[in-house]
Amino acid sequence: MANDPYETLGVAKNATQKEIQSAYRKLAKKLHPDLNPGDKNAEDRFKEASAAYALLGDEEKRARFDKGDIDATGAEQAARNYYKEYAASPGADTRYQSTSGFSDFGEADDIFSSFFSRRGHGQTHARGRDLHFAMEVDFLEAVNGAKKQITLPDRTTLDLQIPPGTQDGQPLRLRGKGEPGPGGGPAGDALIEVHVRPHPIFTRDGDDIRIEMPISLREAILGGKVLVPTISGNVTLTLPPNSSTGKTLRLKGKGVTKRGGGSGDQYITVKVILPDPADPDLAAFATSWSAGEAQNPRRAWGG
Amino acid sequence: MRHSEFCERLSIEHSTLSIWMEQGWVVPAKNDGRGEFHDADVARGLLILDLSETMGVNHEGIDVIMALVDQVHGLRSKIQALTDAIRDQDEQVQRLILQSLERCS
Repeated sequence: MANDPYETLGVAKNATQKEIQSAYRKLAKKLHPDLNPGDKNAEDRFKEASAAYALLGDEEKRARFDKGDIDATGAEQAARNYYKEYAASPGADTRYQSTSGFSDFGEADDIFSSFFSRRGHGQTHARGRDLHFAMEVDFLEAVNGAKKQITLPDRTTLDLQIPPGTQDGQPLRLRGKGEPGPGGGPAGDALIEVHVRPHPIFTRDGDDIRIEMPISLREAILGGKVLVPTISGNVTLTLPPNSSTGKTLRLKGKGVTKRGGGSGDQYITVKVILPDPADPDLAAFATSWSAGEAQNPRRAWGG
Repeated sequence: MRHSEFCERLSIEHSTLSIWMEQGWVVPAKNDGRGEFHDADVARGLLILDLSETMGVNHEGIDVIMALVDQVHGLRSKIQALTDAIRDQDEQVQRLILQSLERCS
């Protein structure tokens, strides 16, 4: 790489590291060789951009380059084999290749249709059909993960691992558990659509859990420790004094396990519940409480 | 290679590999009933890391992209095979196919 790395990334010499990173990201999305298989020009430009970023993305190296201590070629990256090279090599195994993109080509009994719908070179027999099932799981089983067993129409049973954080309507794929392939082809998959039953306390909001927590008037005024249910058991929460209905507290990390690691949070919205039946002492206090008369929570409405 | 070597070569945690396998982004090849990975899977892993780290694509995005990448390779290999098959034909047949293609486009 002999070109000016700033020019390659399309940034000014005084660009911030953030600008450099975002310029590289933009180019990578457009030029990544695996997203442009067969386009040699894109691959060359991607390599150039990567080399430029390896230099300018590292503040220390960038400073040395700016001072002239190292030249642009000092940042050349080690050669790498892209996925496309394996995917396209003759005799490549075809675990990943999908020819579903051809399923609407031609008539079903056209002489070419079998060629297009066949998976890869290696497999000469069609794959069995996918089977679709639906099952219901409890809210907590879906958020925390669970092992379930389902019985198929042919009375065989399947062990099913519900991954933590499973969403309502999410399909789970059991590879090879569908119909056997005709003529010895590979079996299709079983696709199980998971329906999550609602929970009386918890509701799910993405990776977060929300609950509404009733509190007494005394707790609302004085605050104090309250036991709060979470999806992983009860925890003690300190309620601050003077908490109105609608006040929302957060329990960090007590939400749903995210797919890429980490967890969401639990949000607790409090709701003040007055004593039932009404307490005459409380009514007597409110009558004699002069500051209470001056409070107008509807001031924002005017009037 | 075994799962541990695969993780080592990509510098990823085992838990990350579990997620990739759950999503079907990488599928170990069956060998004597034991799943193992090949160099092609490592290259695939590098692509997944490029998508998530370099390009900031989230899990949902990777899911879509990997499915499309697999379709593109499926399509490319079929077109390659089709092109090779046409090259095997007599010149007369090749000319007829070319004419037909030019009418289509």
